[in-house]
Parts: sequence; C-alpha cells; structure tokens
Amino acid sequence: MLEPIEQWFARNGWTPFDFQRETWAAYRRGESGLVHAPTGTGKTYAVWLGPLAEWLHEQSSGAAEFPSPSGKGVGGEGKSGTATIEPNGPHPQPFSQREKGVEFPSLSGRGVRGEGKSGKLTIEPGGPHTQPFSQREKGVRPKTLRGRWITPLRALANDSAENLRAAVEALDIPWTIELRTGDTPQSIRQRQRKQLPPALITTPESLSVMLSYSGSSDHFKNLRCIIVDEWHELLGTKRGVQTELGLARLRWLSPKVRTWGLSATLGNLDQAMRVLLGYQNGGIGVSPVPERQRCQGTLICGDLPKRTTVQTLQPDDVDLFPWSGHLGLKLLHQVISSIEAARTTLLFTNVRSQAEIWFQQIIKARPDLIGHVALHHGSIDRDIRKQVEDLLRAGRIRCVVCTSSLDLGVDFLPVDQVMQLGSPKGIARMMQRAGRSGHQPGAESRILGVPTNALELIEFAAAREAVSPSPSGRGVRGEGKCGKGAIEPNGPHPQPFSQREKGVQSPSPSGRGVRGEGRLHSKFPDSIRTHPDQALTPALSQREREESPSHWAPHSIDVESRTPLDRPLDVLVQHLVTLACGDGFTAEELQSEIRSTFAFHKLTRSEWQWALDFVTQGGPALHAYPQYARVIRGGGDGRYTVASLQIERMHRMMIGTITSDAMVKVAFVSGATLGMMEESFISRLHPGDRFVFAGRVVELVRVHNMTAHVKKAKQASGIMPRWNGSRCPLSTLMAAAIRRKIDEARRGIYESSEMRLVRPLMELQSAWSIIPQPDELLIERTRSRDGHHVFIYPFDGRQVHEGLSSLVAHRIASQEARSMHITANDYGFELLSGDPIELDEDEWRQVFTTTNLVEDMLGCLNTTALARRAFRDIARVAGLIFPGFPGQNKTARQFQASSNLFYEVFSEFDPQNLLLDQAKREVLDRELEVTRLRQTLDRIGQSRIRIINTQTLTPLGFPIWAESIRTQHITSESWADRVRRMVVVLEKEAAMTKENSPQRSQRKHRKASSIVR
Amino acid sequence: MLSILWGGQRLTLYSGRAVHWRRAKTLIVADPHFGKAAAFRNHGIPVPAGTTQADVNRLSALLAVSGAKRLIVLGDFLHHRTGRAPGTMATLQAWREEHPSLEIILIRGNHDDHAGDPPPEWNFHCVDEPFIDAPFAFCHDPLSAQHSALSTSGFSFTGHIHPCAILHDSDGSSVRAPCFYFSQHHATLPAFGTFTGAHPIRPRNGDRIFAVSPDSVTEIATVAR
Repeated sequence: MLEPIEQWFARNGWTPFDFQRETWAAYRRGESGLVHAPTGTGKTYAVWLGPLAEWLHEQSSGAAEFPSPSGKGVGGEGKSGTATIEPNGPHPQPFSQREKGVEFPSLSGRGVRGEGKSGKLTIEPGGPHTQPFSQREKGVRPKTLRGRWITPLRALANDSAENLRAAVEALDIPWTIELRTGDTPQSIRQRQRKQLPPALITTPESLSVMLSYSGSSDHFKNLRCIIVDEWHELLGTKRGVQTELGLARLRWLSPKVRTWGLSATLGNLDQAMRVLLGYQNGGIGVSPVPERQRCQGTLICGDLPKRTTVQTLQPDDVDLFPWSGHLGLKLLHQVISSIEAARTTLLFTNVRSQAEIWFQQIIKARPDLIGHVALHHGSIDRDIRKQVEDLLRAGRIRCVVCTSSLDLGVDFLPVDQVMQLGSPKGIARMMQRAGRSGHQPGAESRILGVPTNALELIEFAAAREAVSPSPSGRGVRGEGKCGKGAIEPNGPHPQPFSQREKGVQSPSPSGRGVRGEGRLHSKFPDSIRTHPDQALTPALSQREREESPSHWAPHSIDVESRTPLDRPLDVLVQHLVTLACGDGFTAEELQSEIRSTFAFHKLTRSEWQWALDFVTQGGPALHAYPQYARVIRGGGDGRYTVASLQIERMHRMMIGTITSDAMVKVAFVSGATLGMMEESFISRLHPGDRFVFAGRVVELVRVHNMTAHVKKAKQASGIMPRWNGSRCPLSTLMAAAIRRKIDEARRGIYESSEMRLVRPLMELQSAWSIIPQPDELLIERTRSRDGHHVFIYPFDGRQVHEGLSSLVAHRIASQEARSMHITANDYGFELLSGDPIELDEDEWRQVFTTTNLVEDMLGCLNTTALARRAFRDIARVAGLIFPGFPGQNKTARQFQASSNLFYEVFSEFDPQNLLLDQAKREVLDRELEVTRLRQTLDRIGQSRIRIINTQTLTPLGFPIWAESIRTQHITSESWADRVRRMVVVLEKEAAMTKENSPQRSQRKHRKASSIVR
Repeated sequence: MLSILWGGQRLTLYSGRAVHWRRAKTLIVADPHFGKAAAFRNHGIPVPAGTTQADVNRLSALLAVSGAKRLIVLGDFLHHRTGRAPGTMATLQAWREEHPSLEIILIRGNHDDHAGDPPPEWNFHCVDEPFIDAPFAFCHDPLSAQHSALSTSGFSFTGHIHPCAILHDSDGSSVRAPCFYFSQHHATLPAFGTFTGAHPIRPRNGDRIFAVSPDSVTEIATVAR
C-alpha cells in the first residue's frame, strides 16, 4: 500500500524517516496516535501520506479496508468481498449506527441500515468497488470529506494547504484541498455546506460552526482521518476542549475515523495523546462507564536529536546594566550588529508592546534598515503578516521582530539566526523558538539571548543548562545508530504507554525495541525536506553520519507539560447549543459521547443535568428562568434542538472560545487595514491621540462601527499600547533551573560568561544579605520612605508568587488588621506595610502552612477581582455575551451586556449557578495554581527560614520593588467597600494635589492606599 | 444621599440612583430598562429572574424616604418589546397598584419608541422630550438637550448614557462606579436598572461627578484634562 509513497520519495532522492514510515504503517493498521517531531522534519507528511496511500490503494485494488481503532470489531477484510458482523460480537460503536441508522460508511454506498441486526453485509454484486460513487478509475474525486486537518491558527491554514496540496499533486491524486476558517468567503462556505471537498483544513472554531449546521452526519460519514496540527498549542486550553468535543462528535458520526495529532516538545506526550484520542465509547448508558478503555493509540516520536545552543549578548559594562526592567534597549546596538551579521534573523519578544518598541527603536537607530526589518505579531492584519512571511521566505528582509505569532508554523520560515529578547520563561518554548534556526536535519538550533536586565543573565545561563544535558552520560549519544526498532505489525504492544510515561526524561536503554521509541531509533537519514520545492541537501554519506553524532544531543531534556483542562462547563454549554443548532441530540446518546472526551470523562450526573437545564430553562426546575428559550426539547423523540433561527444565527457568531477583549479593527481612513486592537485600549483614546501600532505611529481619527480609523501621524512618537494578557510566567522547570544557578553562585561557582557577568551583583547580594541555600527560605526586611518592606524569595515563578503573596498577606492580615501592599515577580514577592511586620520564624512557618490552604485561598479570592476576571471568559464561552462585530445592527446591541453585569446578576439572583463555581475553580487551578502552590509550601515547610534585616533594597529585592506598577490588589473589600474607600482616597488626593507641587513622586502617590483588612 | 444646590434648586442625590427635587416633591430616575432581563431570556441569553422585583422595591423605598408625590422617568422605561413578558408586566403592575396616587411622567427614550408605552391603565403620562417644568427641562438624550435652546440658558436633566466614573486604585487597577454627572447646564443620571451597563464619562473642567456606591453618594474631584 505504501509503494506509491516510497516511489515518490525515491524519485526525489529522499528517504523517509523511520518515524514517517512508522506513522504510515500505524495508520495502515487502522490506528490513531500522536506524532511528536520538531518543526521542519516532515511530520506533515508522516500523518498526511497515510490517508493518501490508503486512497491510492483503494483505487488500485478496488478494495476497502476496515481498520478499526482497536483492531477488532466491525468487519473483516473488505477484500474478501463480504463483511460479516457477528450480531453479538464486540463491536465498538454499534450504538451510533444502530440508533441513528447511519449509513454504513463507504462500504456499499447504499446505506445498509441496521446491519447489526442482519449480521451480514453484502457488497453489491458487480465487483468489489467500495467507494460509494464508483470511483474505480483513478481521477474521480471523492464526493465527501475524507480527511480533515485542524489547525490552531488561521494563519497556518494557508501554509498547511500548500503542503498538503504538494503531496496530493505529486501523487497525482484528484483531491481538492480547501480551507474553512473564519476568513473563508461566504460563497465558498455556502458551497461547502452542500458539498464538502475531499480534504478540508479548519480551525477548531470552524469545526464547531460546521457542526452547528444540520446534515453533518451526512457530511462526515466517510471521514477517514482527522489530523490535529500543533496539538500542544491546543492542549490545556478551552479551544483544546472544544476540539476534543468536536472530535468526539466526528468519531461518533464516523466510527472508523482515525485521529492523528502533531505535537512539539511536551513533558506529557502520553497524556496529550490520551486527551486527543479520548476514551472509547465503551459502555453506553447513563451510568458512568465503569471500565474505561483507553483508546489504543500509537505515540510516534520523530524527534531527531538536535542540539540547542544558547548564547547571550552581553553588555560591555555590567554596572550600567539595569537591575530590573524589560526593555533592554541598552543592547540595541549589539542587537543591530547581530542582525547585520546574519542573513535572516527572527527577533522574538515576549509581548507585543515590546515588539513594537524594538521595531521602532531599530529603525530609529538605523533608518537605512527600513524595509529590511519587519514586525509580526498577532494583532497585525493577516495580509500584512503574510507579506512579511513571504518576504522573509524569499530572503528579501533581514529581520522580523515578532512575538509568539511566529512560534508556530508547519514548516515555514527557517532562518539563520534566532534571538530571544528577554527571559525565555520556559524551556519548551525556547527550544521551539530556537528550532527556527538550523533547519537542516541534524543541524544545531541556536538561540541568541538578549537579556534585558541583570537577573535575566541568570535565566539564560539556567536555560542553557536545562537544554544541554549533563555530561554524566545520560542519554548515550549516537543512539541513532542502533537502527530500527522492532515493530510488531499487529500484535499487542505491551508498554507503549509506560514507556512514554518516562519518555522524554529518561531515554533509558531499556526503551529500545519498543515501538513508540522512535526517537531512539530514528537513524539520521538521508536528507528530506518537507518543501519539495526547496533545494535538497545532498545526502550525507555513511561516513559523515558516523562522524556527526556529536550533533545529536541526546534528548534527555526535561520540558514543560501542559495540563489538560477538567470539565470546563462553559465549553460544554456552548457545545450543547452548537449541536442543538445542527442535527440536534438526545440526552442519553450525547451524554456518553461527551463522557468519551478526556475533558469530561469525570462529568457527574448532576453537572450534566445542570448543563442541560442551563441551556433549556436557565436554572434547575425550581429556579427555571421565565420565558427563557435557547434549546428546546422536542415532544416525540425528546430530541433537543435550538429554539429559534435567530438564536441559531447568534450562536454561530459566538462560537469560539478564544478569550480576548472585544477587538476593534484598526484601519487607515483610506481603507487599508492594519490589524486588530483591544477595544479597551482604543476606548481610552481621543481623536487626535497618537499611538504606535503595527510598526507605525498613527493618529486616531474616529471610532465607528467597531473600526478605529487612523491616519499617519506627523509626529514620530505616540503612546505604546499595552496589551492585556501578555504576561508569561516562568515555568516550573525554568524556576528549578534558576534555583540551581543561584545556588552555584552561593557556592562561588561562576562557570558561564553570564554568571561571571552577574557575579558582582550576586556578591553584593551576599554582602548586603545572603544568597539562600537550596533548603533555605530568605526573608529580607528593610525600611524606606514607602514603609516597611518584607521581601520573600521562593524563586518559583511569578504565578506561584502572586498566589502565595495573596495567601501570605491574607493570613498575616487575618491575625492583625493592617494594610499591606503586595508585589510579585519571578523570584519572589514583597509585602509593603505601614507598620513593621514582626513575625519570628515559627510565626512565619504558620503563615506558610498548607493547612487550610484552599479555604484560605478562597478567603482571599472573594477579596480580589480574580473570579470576576475569570468569569469574563466563561461568560463569553457560555454564550452570555454577544461579542460586537463590525456593522452590527441596533437590535444586536440591545442584547449585549458586560460579563461584569452578568457576574453581579448571577451572584445576586442565581448564586448556585455552576458557571460561578467554575470561575472560582479556574482561578484556583489555573490562575493561582493551587497544586503548584502546595508544592512550594511543602518545599518551604522543609526549609529553614532566614530572616535578614537589610539596610537597603538588595539586588534581588530591587526588581520586585520596581515592579510595583503592576501590583495586585488584595483586600477583603467588596466592590461596594472598595468604591467607598477609593472615593475617600480620591478626595484626599485631590486635596493634596492642590497643595503640593506637581512633581510629587508618582510612586508615593500610588502607594497611598490599598488596604488589607 | 447627598444634598446639592443646582439651578437654584435644592436636590438630593440618592445612592439608589435617583434625584429628589425637593420643592416639586419629584423623584427623578433615568433608564430603568424594565424587562431587559426578560428580553435577554427571550433571545436565548440566560439571565436569572428577580431583577425587576429588586428594582421596583428600590423605587418604592426611594419614594417612601423622599416623600415624593411625582415620579419623572427620563426615558427607557421598558427595554425591548420582547421584554414585555407576563411576569415582568405583572410585577410592574402590582407596583403601580401600590402607588395609585403617584403621578408618573415618562419622557420617551429611544428604547420606549421601540418597546412602546406602558399600558394605558397604568396611568403614565408619556411625553416626548423635552418636558419642561421651570426651571428644569427633562430629556432622555443629552444631545437633544444640548441642541435645544436649553443648552446655555436652562437646566436640563437627562439619561441615556448610563454614566459611570472610573476610579483608579493605588495598584493601577480600577473600578467603575455609576455616577451622577453634573455640568453647568446639564445633569445626567445613572441608569436606574440593576441589569444595565454603564459608560465611562470624560468630564471636563468644572463638571461635578458624584460616584454612587451601594449606600452612599460621594463627590469626586475631577482632574483637568
């Protein structure tokens, strides 16, 4: 079956990677799975060629195969001409077919119904052609959807299409490949609604939208393969859950479908796969399935060993180097020199505003670079981004200043040099960014770090250590030589999971020979490129291969995991309405379908009932909302459908779980679109105000119909937008790596150049305070004009520190009423108080106890705006908020209300609403990360506490102090109390402003209030 | 509550989002948007019940505490015609029956144009803007007040924009509070309805802002822009 592919490869002088062959074979066996391989190694073809080969095979032999996910069940070999089904035999998805009378996909095309009863299927006499529309001759395209490609980013859809098309054309397969995303024109959507192409590329949102139209069971019945690209990006997000639900539906509509995912480096690949594949619809019924069978999946690792090298640009004079800050413009000229030294550069920043600033600064410093440097981030118009990508690909620009918008990408934009501006924050992320360079297989990925303050030097040193495995001999290099792993073609494979459990961390020799350990066996092969049009690098000779193993850094690197979400009810509610818009559903059936997803496999009966009630009557029976109608339950068959056409239309516009502010289009008065901008930013501007956007300084002319019309500003300076949600906390692994580096500094070990550079600072820290040992918690106390400062350094990342500081402030304040101001960064946090905080070691221990952790966290939750903020997203996903859209009419606006308003109304009039509960849960789990917090507290519990009084702010303390612009407000005040208090403060301040000179310190001004009670 | 002098008249501002014009024994509210929740529900957006009852209770309490004999509603009494749900209308009718002698003047707002006047038996006096009762004019939309001859000479009460003030906290965060917004010739009231949004205002020099918290009204200083 795979000959055509092998031949095609051979014709081009390529040799497939082992992981590609493995994937093809697994697909052929009817398995689903997840392919893990870095960008640019041909993972697209690994998953895409299987379905193509299958098609070719069917065409040539006229036989259909019936691979089923578990290898048992429906049907025998199509070749034999008859397929028999034992009436009582183990058929994994008989339910769906029997109940719905779905046509048995593609066997006869005539839709043999109720085959479970008859126990026998006969293929039409006249020959073994199995495609419904007799496509025996090659050249007839399939009339229904065969393959579906899901991509997290619209921007990637076009690239994917090109890739998929290249293969289809090369293999002379008459498939059209179409896109269906939010950008697809209405006319094409209309056509697609009637007739789907053989292959379709969509986003998760578009998949949902398609499910919201009736007739999806017909459309998807012949679907053979769903491929989810960049699965790691979706995992752990609500869009990921939306994808899970969509996949569950597709699997249910088309039981034979195989699911394949593509993922980059993750610490929990096994789990990632389980989430993707879901659970088999084992026991169907109302009760939770007792024995949940894991969907058998195949994890294929095509991770070619690739070493990542981390270097940093270093300031000439460390004394001038800021102790804190995030701009890093001190290194501007060095950055420009580096850009000039390479042919093409990607300059990654962590936030969009930083990208804008750097772009401005580079062209300001070097106007001759205008036209050679471009800007790329998620808010910039798609067409402009595409242009930038094309220019870079064509080698016509030297440098792109970008954000994570260029993290992703099928196989595009390899560059000579990758630079990272500011802390890398996470190891997986840095490796992925680094992977944009050195694209030739086996080459080195290099990343040039640009630290923006002194402590980031430590972070880059830590990151380097994290990606370069210790020289202890872990992960023997040259594993690749051992060649192919034994692949048992059909047999049971005993430990594909347990092996992967350890997977990335421990490439122990015992892993050999077991399938799924592709990484260990992937021989460094002859070159292959995924872009057939690219020049091919000549195959490495055997000798070169032998000599090059030093380049294959063994992959014994810890990388971050992504935790999948558990039961986000807002997504479920949305999905219920989506399905009600489409073909409708019955409760019993859908319940087991929903439970087959990972996200909802723990869904309780009452949660399920609540979700049903919520979409049908608002609240539970006794608290039903009057006149509420969204989804209604039909009389006869009890089928749930949507209440009106209008609701259906509105729902489709709301589908999507990307959580963002209302976005406003930014366009020139002349018409050209620049991109999208948060409404919250635009709404603060007045006409005539200048701001920087998409690398230009523009002047606001007017805001009309969700569009901000701008013109080119005459002056060269403008306000820098501050985008929301752009903060990226340090990962747990990075935090641990940093702690190791700091400990080395304590022991006087300064091995890397970064550490040597930061040495004076660390020695200052030792002199003024201490550098804590790994089993010590440092608490510094000092006094300033602002008040009494306490700095606490768990070195565990901002996210943990934010939660921890709230908890600590809450506990201290609950013992003794006091006002406190808290600030956190990646290293520690600060408590600032008017009165000294006098706790001894034992008392501090009490403050850090894990006893009553959740209760206390909830205690300070009511006190923060966190739950309210989490509810913002929930309200949008659950369909409470109807997002604005350009050109909406007045009627639509009359049904818009803010999430805040909903939060208030629910809290007051329906406090039992589970969405409120979810907001709380999300804050605890996701935002405050109680699990991680507990680990930190456990670690502190075993540490000695060192309380040091210092004369002044220390090198570790200063950056936290300087961070206080974005401190968190912790108070037990209700909104009402807060307004009341702030009104008083404002009055006072207004009085003071009149008396004092305007030069009053901004900071002092800010610190004037904030109270913990 | 807070007492101020404006247009030569003594006014009491209540945290229940109403103004009492003492001399005329008149309570003034704007934008109750009754039936908004019901209209949302009717459109498939889940909003719990109870807002209407809460709002009429508050209105009754304000009438009692102020001793007003007349109520002026500055427009948008009903939100949408689909909000004229039986439950909502019954609640409102019951409230009306509790205050049979209360004179009610409704200055029609943009929502009323669409949603329609209250049933005639409720005995509302429905008028188009402006409604004049010297020295004041009562309008729904501040723009119509500004465009009329009242703009520089008279004093007008308006609604429509649901004003709120953004109070900036010491940590850079902010909180919104509905507010009464008084300029020299125009006073804009906060929306009365519980289930109503609010729109931040941009005060100019000389304007007076009274922020409303659930139980107090406080004047906040405005900073020149």
